[in-house]
Amino acid sequence: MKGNIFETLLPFFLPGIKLTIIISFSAILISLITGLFLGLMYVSKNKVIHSIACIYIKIFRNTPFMVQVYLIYFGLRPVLGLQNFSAAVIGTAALALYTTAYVAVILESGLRSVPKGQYESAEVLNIPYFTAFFRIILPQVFTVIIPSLTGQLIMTVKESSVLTVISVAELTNKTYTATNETAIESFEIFIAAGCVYWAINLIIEIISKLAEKRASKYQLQGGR
Amino acid sequence: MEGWDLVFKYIPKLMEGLGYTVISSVCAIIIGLAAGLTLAVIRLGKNRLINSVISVYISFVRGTPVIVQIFIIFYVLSDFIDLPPLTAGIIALSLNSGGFIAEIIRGGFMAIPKGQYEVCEAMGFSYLQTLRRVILPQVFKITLPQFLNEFIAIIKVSPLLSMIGVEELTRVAQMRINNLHEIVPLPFYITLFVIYFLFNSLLEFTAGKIEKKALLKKGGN
Repeated sequence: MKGNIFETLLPFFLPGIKLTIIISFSAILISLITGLFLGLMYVSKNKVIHSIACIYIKIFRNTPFMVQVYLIYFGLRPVLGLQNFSAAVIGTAALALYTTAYVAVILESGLRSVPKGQYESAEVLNIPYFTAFFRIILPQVFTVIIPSLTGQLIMTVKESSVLTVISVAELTNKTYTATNETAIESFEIFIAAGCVYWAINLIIEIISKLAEKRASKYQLQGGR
Repeated sequence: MEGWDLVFKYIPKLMEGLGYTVISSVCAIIIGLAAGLTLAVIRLGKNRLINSVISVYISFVRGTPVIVQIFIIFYVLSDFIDLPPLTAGIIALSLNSGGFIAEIIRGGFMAIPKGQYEVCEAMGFSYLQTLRRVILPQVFKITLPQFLNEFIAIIKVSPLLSMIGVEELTRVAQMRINNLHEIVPLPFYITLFVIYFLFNSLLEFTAGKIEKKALLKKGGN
């Protein structure tokens, strides 16, 4: 009988897991790019640019993600004429907007961790600013922030479950469907779904530990 | 824009919803603190089996979405006893914050030098006295900022309680919108958004003040 539970749930869980992973990874990849921009704005010395970044971060970090999803999907989608986009696309966009605020803060702390002298040395060595930024500064930033970025990815996987409120067919949504369409006890199905999320996040953690190990050899050794 | 006058008419209703949001969050954080503290103190002990059970619990709470946790508790409770959704919701949020707070407090314990326990023992303090009089006051000071953050985090997940039918702020707004099909829902959602934003910003501001005060006290010692 035990094996049967998983056999019954697998058809529900598999497509859900797939969509959860696709949504979470798209959102984190998008937010790495947008978060980098926002993080650079945040460390900018220009007060206006800094405040814009500050306000964005405050707004997205101080409101519940579920309310953001409602506002974007039910409130803004009809007004902005975005009806052509599916719930999954809008949901991913909302998740990316939300994650951007967190990634920006992580990147900001990473950017601040690189000593100023490196910018100056690069300038003295006649390395163009962009080359210096992308080839010298950024690689170091990424090695420093891998642990916080992993935490963020895990959080994003968990927050993606909120998209069930706009009927995106990710894992939580599929779990709910399974409670209606199978004879298995509802709480057992949700415990099973919890275990799946748990497994996904544990795997992410293991991969991140490996990445950290590999990245550590690029880290600054000793003196600054 | 149309719809705004309707929003203003429903502000008292929304505030009632905010009341439920606050009640459930405050209950959750208080029970969560008790649970988290208990777990963290038990974990200081050397019993391997108990410690690994607690570790698994904390890992599960931190590794799964709150929605899933809420549904698990809701269905488990409704299968065995008939509980109102608010109670089930508070229990779910408490168990969730308990796991997070246990980790926070563990971090606080680790920051206290081992020598302090030894000194207390040498001075003839019992273990419980050592904890209550010496260790815990310091732990609370160290973990205060994270603890306040956890409270804001709970407020931010509280809208998920609307999924099991708790009539907190988000659900109240949602029900109004569903009842009034003809209106543009945007004003309602903006209002909802702004209420949460203002409330959390106020909390954040207060938390900053409390932190500063605690820090000043620490410096004065």
